[in-house]
Amino acid sequence: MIQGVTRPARGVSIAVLAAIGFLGLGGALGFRRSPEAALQLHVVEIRGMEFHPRELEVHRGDTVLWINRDLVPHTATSTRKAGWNTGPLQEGDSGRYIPRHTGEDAYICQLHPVMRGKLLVR
Amino acid sequence: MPKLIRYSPIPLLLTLAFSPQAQAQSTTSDLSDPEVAHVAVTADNIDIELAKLAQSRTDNPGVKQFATTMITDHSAVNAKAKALAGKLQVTPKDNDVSQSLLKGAAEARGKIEPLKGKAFDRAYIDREVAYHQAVLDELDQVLIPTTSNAELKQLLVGVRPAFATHLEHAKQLQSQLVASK
Repeated sequence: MIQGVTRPARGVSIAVLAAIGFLGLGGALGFRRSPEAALQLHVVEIRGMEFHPRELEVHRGDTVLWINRDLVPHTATSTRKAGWNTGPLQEGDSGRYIPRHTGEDAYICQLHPVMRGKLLVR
Repeated sequence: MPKLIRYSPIPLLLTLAFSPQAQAQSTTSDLSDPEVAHVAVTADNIDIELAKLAQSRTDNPGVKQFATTMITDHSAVNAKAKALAGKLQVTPKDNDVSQSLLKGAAEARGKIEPLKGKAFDRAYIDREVAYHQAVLDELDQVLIPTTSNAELKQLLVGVRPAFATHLEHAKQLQSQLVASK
């Protein structure tokens, strides 16, 4: 398993994932956040062979969730060597990643390398 | 029996058969729904079979990945098309158009199969560029505009971005193969 990615089971609701993000991950990761800067869940939809939104600004410790709405499988895969990778997501599947470092994090679909996205981690 | 689409298959054949002989035989003026379903499944299977050959023959990681994606994606589209045909109670029926496609595919394969190494990769990717451009043209100019069945139109519209992405991917590989001569 490549680092940093977990695969929620099919059908797991966004609300549950949000709760996990808010209640569990913050404490587990030990990030220093201001009281008003709660960990957030960001959803990237994969539809029409594109990432929506294509660029996304997040904070360290936030959760990014990719949901595949296409008929064909996709991945969200960091372009960095030995970077994170959701693995293949079938139609309706989702995968998530929690950025741990600030900076730009470009990613592609490994199965369709012309599909590109970017995380801007603050 | 529900009527899904009714169109002249000639442009599709001209672009997909890739064979003068096959094109010359493709003069059927109309297709029944079961025949259209058979053509759709046949067209997918043709690309899947060539991709399987490429997967087993190429040493180029990019070409191998592309072939794998073609198998995965066209299989997914085929499964959806078959499910829709079943739902609409359309049983795919063999026909001259499908036979022409198969003949053209066999001829294309006959030209590609003896090649080795980079020559094989280039021939395979060149055909994939032509194939996906032809399918996109057909979708845009004939299939989507003339399809009246909402579910079939939705399927065609839904798979169009995948074909466009395949074309872009194949063109990207084509440029890389030319550059690595």
